Amino acid sequence: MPPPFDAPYIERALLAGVLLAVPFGLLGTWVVLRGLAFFAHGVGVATFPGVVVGLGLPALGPIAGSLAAAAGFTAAVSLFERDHRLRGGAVTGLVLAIALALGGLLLTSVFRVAAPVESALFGSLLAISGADVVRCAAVALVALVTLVLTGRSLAAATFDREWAGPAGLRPGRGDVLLLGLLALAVVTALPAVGSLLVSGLLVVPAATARLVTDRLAPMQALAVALCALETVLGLALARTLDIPPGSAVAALAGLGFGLVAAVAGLIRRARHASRIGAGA
Amino acid sequence: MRRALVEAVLAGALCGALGCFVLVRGLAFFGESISHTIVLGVALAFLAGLPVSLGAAALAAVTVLAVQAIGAGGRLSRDTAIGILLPSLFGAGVALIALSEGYRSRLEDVLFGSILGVTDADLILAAAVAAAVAGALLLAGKELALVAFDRSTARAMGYSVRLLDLLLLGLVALAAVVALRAVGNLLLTALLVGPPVTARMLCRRFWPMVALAAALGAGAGIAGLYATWYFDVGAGPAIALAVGCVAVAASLVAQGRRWERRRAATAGAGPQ
Amino acid sequence: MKRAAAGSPPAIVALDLSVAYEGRPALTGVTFSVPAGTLAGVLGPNGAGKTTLLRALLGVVSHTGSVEVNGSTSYVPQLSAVDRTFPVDALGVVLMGRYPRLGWLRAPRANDRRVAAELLDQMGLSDRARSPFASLSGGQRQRVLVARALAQEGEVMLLDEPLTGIDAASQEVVLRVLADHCADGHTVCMTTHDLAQAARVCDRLLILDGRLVAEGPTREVFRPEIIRAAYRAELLSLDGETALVHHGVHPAP
Repeated sequence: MPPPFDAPYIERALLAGVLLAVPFGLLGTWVVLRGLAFFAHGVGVATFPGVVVGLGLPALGPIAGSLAAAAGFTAAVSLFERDHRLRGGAVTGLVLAIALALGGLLLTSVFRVAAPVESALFGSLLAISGADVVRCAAVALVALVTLVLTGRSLAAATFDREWAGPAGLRPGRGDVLLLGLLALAVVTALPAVGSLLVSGLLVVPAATARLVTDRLAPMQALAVALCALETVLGLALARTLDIPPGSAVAALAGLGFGLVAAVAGLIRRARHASRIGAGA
Repeated sequence: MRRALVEAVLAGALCGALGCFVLVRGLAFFGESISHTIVLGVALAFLAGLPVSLGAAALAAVTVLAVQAIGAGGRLSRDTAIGILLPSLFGAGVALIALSEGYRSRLEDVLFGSILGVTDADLILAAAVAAAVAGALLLAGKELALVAFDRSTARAMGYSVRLLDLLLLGLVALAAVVALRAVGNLLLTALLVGPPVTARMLCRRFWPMVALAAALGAGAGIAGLYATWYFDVGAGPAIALAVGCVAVAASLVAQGRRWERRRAATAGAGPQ
Repeated sequence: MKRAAAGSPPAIVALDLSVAYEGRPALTGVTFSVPAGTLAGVLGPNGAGKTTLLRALLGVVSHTGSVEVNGSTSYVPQLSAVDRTFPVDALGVVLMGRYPRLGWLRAPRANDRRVAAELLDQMGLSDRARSPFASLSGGQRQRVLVARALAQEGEVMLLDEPLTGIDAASQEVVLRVLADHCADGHTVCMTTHDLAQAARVCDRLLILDGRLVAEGPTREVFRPEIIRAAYRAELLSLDGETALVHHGVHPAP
């Protein structure tokens, strides 16, 4: 393969990235449509102390650690956000902050593993193993099958939860499923993009797709495609410039959104102007 | 150490007080995102040889405006808008820092704060911001609270809700710039959310809650610094963790109280 | 007016129904029955428990006493509950009404799409079938939501304030469709706070105020003394227009 894709580790990274585009594009659509961006960011951040503990205790390992942390975060937020005095993300914010503080504290005092800080927070090309690629493939498959099967109920419940419940479409189950898949996808992507920027892949490509279309299925397909494109380009950029892959991918995704938003805005303005001119 | 103490008290009090407005307005995500997006400003300012605080403030303004702009179309929610800006701008900032020399230590400073290295210039900035915030709260505090609790009434009474929103967001951004030094942007949310959440559990009325939150924030700053001194842990995380523990403890107490009340209510209520 | 299906059991039966939210009573001791094929109107001031009654009938809120609905239900919640920015077109929304009968593995079939298209046509919205839901007017959206409920093919349809805040033309379309639905033997129960309109179109009225104030066929319930007791107001008719004139202050809910 041509540079910058000329080493086995970068091939693994690319494969992982493309595979992850499937769950991230599909889940990202629901994150955008259901207003789950804060939660998605929170799950990512919450895995940080889990990774630190997992790295410090080799018996546990970073994957188990991050899974436990993600599960704990999801449970804590689900339990406490029912209190109406604390709505608006206060619980998410607080748990997130505690998770970060804990991670930082453990890092600087108990475990002192300096090097992996950046790779834990922002990903590392070298950290993606063959086993990680297999995990990405598995998560992609699980997410695809599950979301295709439940897509209709999710759509109906997102559009009108009040109706979907009595209609027998089980919105509560859909919620749990979605949050669980989110945690799983985030944990799987950690070696590649890290805790702090993983939400970028979830939110930005899907949001970009939403700008372009008013239909659900095209939005999902476009989100997956954009995710794959931005991941591949981001990984290439990371390799070329020697910067953390998470930062490259997130910055590129943002750039993509900006470009599409600008073009969409120009088109809208042109249409508006021609309509005024024509209708005068 | 004395400078660090003053900085901690100021940062804690500022964030604690403003955090109450953030809490009531449901702006926790916004507060969290500001703390990340200003990193890009820090990186740009550093590259341009400008004061870091200037870059941070500029990016805070950009974030505020961009969130409004993205959400304006009606297709994307505010949550999504913030979810777009946070990773994009923060990612770009991290990328820029990674491209420059000596990046590892700078990244850690930015992420976790370096309160022990605070200078007189930092203190002056913090004091100025505290004065500005105090002034704003004295002059427009009632209006800001009204907009937080009851937007439609505020609008009906003729207040420019938009301007007041911008004022609040601007104040939050200023506090973020100050707290950047103290606890780093990662832990800014802890100071912005923890003391208000705790105060909310313990107070019924708004202004006592604000005062308590400011006190708690300052107290957490001091406690965290002492933890650093005695236990040799990072100052930033220690402060944030102190805040977190207090908040969790208060939540548990309040939750326990609520369970008591509910049990009493259902036990007392007979058949209709 | 409309024929009630002779000899068939009542569509809805409630016996001493009570609902409380966190210790505060919303409905107390409500007892009534609604015969099949009836268009029933549930009336009452704000906070009277109209939405709560619908929720109890749907079985989504815990209650004491008994409530029995004979047949499957379909529901039209208040218009405000819907996420208007969701990427779906009018036809897609009506098609959602077919989902409950589809199950996990089946996708909507041609028949389902045909049913949805026909229902949109009945609502006068064929030309907007492919328009995004977000681009429709309030009245058009309400028509689409009623079509969705019709697509569910339930025996009993429950609607929460279906006519509130929508244009007169859409109101007429919805009322016509609901009347036809009842003529086919289905039962419709809708909440409203427009007393005069309810008296005009409904076969049966239920007046709530935390408890059941009055219920029965419209001509029996829609009488000055009953209205006075329920609303603490007088019914005035002037040039064919009817209005409620309140005297005294109505206690807050």
